[in-house]
Amino acid sequence: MSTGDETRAALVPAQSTSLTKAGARSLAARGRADLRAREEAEEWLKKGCELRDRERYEEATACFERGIELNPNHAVLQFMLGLSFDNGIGAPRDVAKARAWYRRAAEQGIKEAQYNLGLMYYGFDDGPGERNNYEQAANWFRKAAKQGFERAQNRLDLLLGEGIVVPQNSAETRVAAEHGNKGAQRILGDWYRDGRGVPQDHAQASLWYLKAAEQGSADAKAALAAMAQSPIQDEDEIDLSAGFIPLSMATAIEIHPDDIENLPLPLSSSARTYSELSDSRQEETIRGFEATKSNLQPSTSDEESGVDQPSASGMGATD
Amino acid sequence: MPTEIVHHLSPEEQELARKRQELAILQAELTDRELSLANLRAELAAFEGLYLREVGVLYAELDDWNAKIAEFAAEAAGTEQARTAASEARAQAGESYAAAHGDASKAEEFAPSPELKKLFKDVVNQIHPDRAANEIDRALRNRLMAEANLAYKRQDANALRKILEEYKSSPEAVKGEGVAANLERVLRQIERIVKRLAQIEAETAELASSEIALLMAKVETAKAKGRSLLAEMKQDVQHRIDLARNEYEDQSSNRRPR
Repeated sequence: MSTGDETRAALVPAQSTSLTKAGARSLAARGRADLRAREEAEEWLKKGCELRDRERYEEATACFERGIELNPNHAVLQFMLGLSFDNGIGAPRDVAKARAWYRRAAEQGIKEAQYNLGLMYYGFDDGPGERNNYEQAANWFRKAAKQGFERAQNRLDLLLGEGIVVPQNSAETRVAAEHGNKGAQRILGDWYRDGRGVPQDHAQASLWYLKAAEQGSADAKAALAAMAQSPIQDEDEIDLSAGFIPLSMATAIEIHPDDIENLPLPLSSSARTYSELSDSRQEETIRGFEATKSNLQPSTSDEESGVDQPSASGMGATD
Repeated sequence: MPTEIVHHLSPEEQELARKRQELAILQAELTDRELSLANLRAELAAFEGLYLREVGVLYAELDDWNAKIAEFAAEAAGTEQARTAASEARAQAGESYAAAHGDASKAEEFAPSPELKKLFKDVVNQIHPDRAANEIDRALRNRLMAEANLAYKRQDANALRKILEEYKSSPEAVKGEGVAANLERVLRQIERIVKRLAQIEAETAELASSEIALLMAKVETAKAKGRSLLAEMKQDVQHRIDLARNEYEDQSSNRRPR
């Protein structure tokens, strides 16, 4: 700036001062530097993923590390680093580091990270301390499932169905019941019997009590017996009275508690309301129940840790 | 004016006529350039205000948390080094706060109407200091021009009109007489305008390469692609604030950081 300074100052005193104030300028510079760093981090992520696709894992991990230096809060980079340390691919396996990176990515909403972190708590994790922390696992599965991650939902369903994790709301209680948890089935029976949160439906109540009783729930058996002895009429629809289970039937169930195949038969022959339920729903419930039965002994073959690749949508979630 | 001169012109008069023509062209150019420069300054100031209000305040908040963390660490460690770091962090936080909440952050959106632009052009045309006939006139023009720049920046048409009136009624507006004096005056005016045009060019280049202008260019480019860069920046800094606050709370409640 040469001799023109006085003229300029005279011409435009107020405008130029605000623009040349050091504080404001350094805030602008900082914003620009941060932007640049974030863009570069994005480039490293892209490069790392390309290398990973070509199975050059160590170089890929190096790229992710370069990226995370530039933008420590990049959720997908955090997840990719978690993956490297978790699988021991491109980096020495390190469960603690994997968990730390997964957690940071998971807290930023990356569903794959939430799922993998859940798996670590579930017990697929060699590290000390947090094995078999099922409630924690369920919490992360819940978050991933909420984002539509099916594998997380399946894991959560299993935990609920096995009664390992306590349902947190009515929807989860229903999931637990459908996946064979007798306590939840008994609770669902109560809901339908009393019309609590659902339309009162004694046929449904009987169905859930039967499922629970079949698995040895004494409460459910007692409830079935009570319903049979003193039939309560539904308030609106008198037709539903036909849906009550006769006492002899409840006894019959007690006689053959393990015979799942027989469950629908006595119901459909005697309970009119049950036959009035839509066929598809009837099918669904029963199939769901049987499917769950086979799931009660979870196979241990499916214990590969996590997803191998971030999904396309996960990659896109960069902010 | 030049069309009236048909013949019987002395070489001096012919030179004056030519120079007056040259001056008229330069004056028109000067007016345009002054307007562009004023617009650029005001746009940058407005963007700077927006940026400081939206993102700058978050940086200030982040720095405050970082200073708190450093102060807490200094208290815990008790070393000279930690204390220095803490006082540096606190000074940084103070600077950021002052910048983010200072005058610059109050700049409002700049969207001058065509009328306002025209009015400002009139002011520049009539009272630009480089059109001054003498030094007294020049001083008056300098003052009025500075006021006009401020009025334009705050989009105050009334103030611009008053400035115009004040200059018109000023005795300094009287022009000199005599061909030689006139030629001398015109030549000096040309010289000044050329100099001023160079200054404008230099200042425009300086402004265009300033941090805030580069940032604004980035934001505008992203906007054209449907991205809101300012929103992304806010989100990023907010996230860092959340992390810093958590860290501070973990530390100060003596919990082990996760």
